[in-house]
Amino acid sequence: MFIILVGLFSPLAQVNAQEDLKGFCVTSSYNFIRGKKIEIAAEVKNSTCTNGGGRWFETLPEAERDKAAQEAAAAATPAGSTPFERQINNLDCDYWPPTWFNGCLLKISYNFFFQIPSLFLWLSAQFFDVMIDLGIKSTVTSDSGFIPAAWAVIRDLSNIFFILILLYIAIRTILGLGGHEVKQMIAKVIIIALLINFSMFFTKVVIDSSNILALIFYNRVDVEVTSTDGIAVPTDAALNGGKDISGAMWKTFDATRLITDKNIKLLKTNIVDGKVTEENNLSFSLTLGIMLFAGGIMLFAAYAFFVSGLMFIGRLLELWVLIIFSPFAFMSWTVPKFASIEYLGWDAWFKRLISTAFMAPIFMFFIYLIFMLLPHIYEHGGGVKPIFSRGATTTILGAILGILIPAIIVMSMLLKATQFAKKGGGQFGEVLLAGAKIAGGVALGVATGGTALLARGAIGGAGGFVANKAATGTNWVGSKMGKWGNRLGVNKLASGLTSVGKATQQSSFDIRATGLGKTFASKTGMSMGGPIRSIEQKNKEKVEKEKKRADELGVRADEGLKQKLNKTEADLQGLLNANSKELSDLDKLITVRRQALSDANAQFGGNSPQAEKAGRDLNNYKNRKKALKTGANYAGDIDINTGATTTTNQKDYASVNVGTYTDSAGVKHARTIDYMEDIEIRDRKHDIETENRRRRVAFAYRTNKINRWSKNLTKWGTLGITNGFDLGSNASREAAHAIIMESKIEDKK
Amino acid sequence: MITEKSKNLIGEEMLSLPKEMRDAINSFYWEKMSEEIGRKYLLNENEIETLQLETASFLLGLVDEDAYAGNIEDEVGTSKDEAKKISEEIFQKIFTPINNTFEENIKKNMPNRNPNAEQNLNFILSGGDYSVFMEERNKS
Repeated sequence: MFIILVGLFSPLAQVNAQEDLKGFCVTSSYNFIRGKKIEIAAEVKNSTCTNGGGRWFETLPEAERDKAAQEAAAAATPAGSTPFERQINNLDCDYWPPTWFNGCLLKISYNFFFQIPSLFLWLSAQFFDVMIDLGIKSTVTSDSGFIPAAWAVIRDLSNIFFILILLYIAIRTILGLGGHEVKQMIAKVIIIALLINFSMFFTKVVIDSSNILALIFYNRVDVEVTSTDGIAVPTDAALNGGKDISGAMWKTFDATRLITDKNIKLLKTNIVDGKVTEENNLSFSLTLGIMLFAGGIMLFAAYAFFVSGLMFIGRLLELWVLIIFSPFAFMSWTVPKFASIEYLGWDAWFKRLISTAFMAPIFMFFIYLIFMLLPHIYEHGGGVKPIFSRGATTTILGAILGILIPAIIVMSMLLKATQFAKKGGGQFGEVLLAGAKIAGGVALGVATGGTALLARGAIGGAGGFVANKAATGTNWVGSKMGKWGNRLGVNKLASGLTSVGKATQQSSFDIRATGLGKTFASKTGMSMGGPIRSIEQKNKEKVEKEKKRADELGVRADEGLKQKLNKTEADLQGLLNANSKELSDLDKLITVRRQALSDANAQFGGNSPQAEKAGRDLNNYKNRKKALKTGANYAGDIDINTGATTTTNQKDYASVNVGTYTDSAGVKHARTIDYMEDIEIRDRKHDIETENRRRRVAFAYRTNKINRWSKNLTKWGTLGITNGFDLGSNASREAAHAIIMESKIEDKK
Repeated sequence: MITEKSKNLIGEEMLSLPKEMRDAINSFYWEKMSEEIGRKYLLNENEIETLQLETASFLLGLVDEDAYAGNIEDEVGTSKDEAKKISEEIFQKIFTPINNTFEENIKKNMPNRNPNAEQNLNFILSGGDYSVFMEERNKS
């Protein structure tokens, strides 16, 4: 180990940053490790330093001095040990004194969150470079001996089809079914029978064209590969003719830059009241934070490199298959129905050939764009643009942003390029990614589907019935207990049981349809997930969800209140049906008589005898209808000429009812048409609405429980000086209000 | 025609309605319109008055939407079909426009755009109780 020593041998070597320094001495000492780099006074001689076993540096600007010190420290660093590793190794991990939590946790975290992601990144970066190199070189395809052999088999098989097609044309011609279409087919068969022998050549021409185009961009990508000793070497020597594209991209946002000596020193430096102090070790939170940040960036980059590389394999395999099946595709062009065959027919084959082949130049164009951008977002040396620096000094926030922002830009562009790669990578790329999904999905689908079928019948039917019945009973208890029902959780139990009943009766018991199932599918499909929702949107969804939930708590069809309403409506309908003819007749007569009265008024005037006569006639029918609907005794018509009472059409409708109804005051009423329409149905509906409201309000109070508790607690906490503070979520508050007020959810878009 | 006595009674009941609702109802000549609808369906003076009373009852919130047509049939004394047609026309020409105006009035007046300092302070001290902003509006 080396250290910078200050104040050796004499008072002349005392620390004094204000003096005009001539140089500084570097030698081995514990102090340097602790970060105490101290400058030497002017009078200290070079010889004094070297005689003492140190190394003398002439006075240099501060930046160069730091660099020299770092070089000295780096030279002293054991092979394979980074500054950050030294920080980690310095940590204690003992039972006593108890340092196991901080020390051991950080050591374990270092391995999990830093070392493993860096391994993944290294592997995927190598994979990416090799795949890109392989993908755009035609030699891989041309050197593959199995392709011509497999192609020859397909060509021979396709030639057999020509015989069958010719037979088909012959039969159609013999039967007189041929026409213009058949003649066209003959011409096509002759042309393709010749061209099919060149199908591999034509396919390779398309593929080579795309590869040459991709190589134009690839060759323009300026990558300088650096060896382990820091010397730039020709790319061919470093990667067998390939380019370290991933390495060059990674250099832009190299997360390990965070853990250089310089940045570690920054992190350990505190400024309190203008006084600069330096800690011996990094704090627990900072160390863990750095590991997680760097690890996250590395995993993100590893994912992007891996997916891109994987798609290039997909392209390669897809192109091989396209070459092999090119004779069949050519043959299928002769028959329109063959041409539209999925995957192998001419239409699909040609489309896939173009999209798969030209995926490479599109992807390489994006890579070229990224490399054009790299110099602008990366500043060699510091690696951080001045906008992230405070004056001449780089801040730690600047260092983090200097890594994060380039990482987001570069990796986003790479993923965008990968999207094209995914589209163009063809079936094989998807198969590689989805292979596990298909295998696992089939097995799980059979298992879960079968289980779901059984569960739906057994649990869904019986379980739902039992839960609904239990909920009905609990709701009854809740309504009888008033506010105590809410406090003792009876209402909650009732709504919970309602949910169970609804869920069991509606659920398919299919795990594939659940959130877990969807998450599983998403994760195994390497999906990046959907768009991130805003807090406002999430709140709105929560309000809607709670409100919907509250609506579901309403009186169900199988509950007593609803059944009573149904019975009343059924009784009324029965009564109306039984008297429908008379009611219908009376309605018609009323309409006719009303017209007659109107005519009489118009013709003879409102007070004329004719109008009076027509008015009495209309009233007779109106009164009869009223008697029928109220179950009263119709005493008889009024004489339309004289206005005297008569017994004509007298009829007692006392029997037109369906029993009696006892109202809330305990009074019995005959259940006539009129009474049921006006009173009984209204009361039944009101009962249901009251119960629904009670349940909704109880649910709203539960939804807003945290808010109410926090308000009460803070009110007590402030000895009643304040009204308490509502610490619950806005969504819960809004949901509770919306439920109680039965308001519509406002769309704020 | 609706009698003066009935008119006064309805006027008194109207006072119990929220201001936005009163404004919405008063902005429509609902009496005249219901009279015209009654005449269209050949109702006589007494029947028109009954129809207007039923309409007023609905506007005051004393009658449910479901019961309105039935009440016209029973109280005015029309056939079921006539009652249904009258009811539909009144909903279309009176109730729906009044409801739309009412909603607009609510939306227009709901946000208190110029809360005073005391309301702001109360809002903060209450921990986010928005009802403090409503006091000013209720006073007006």
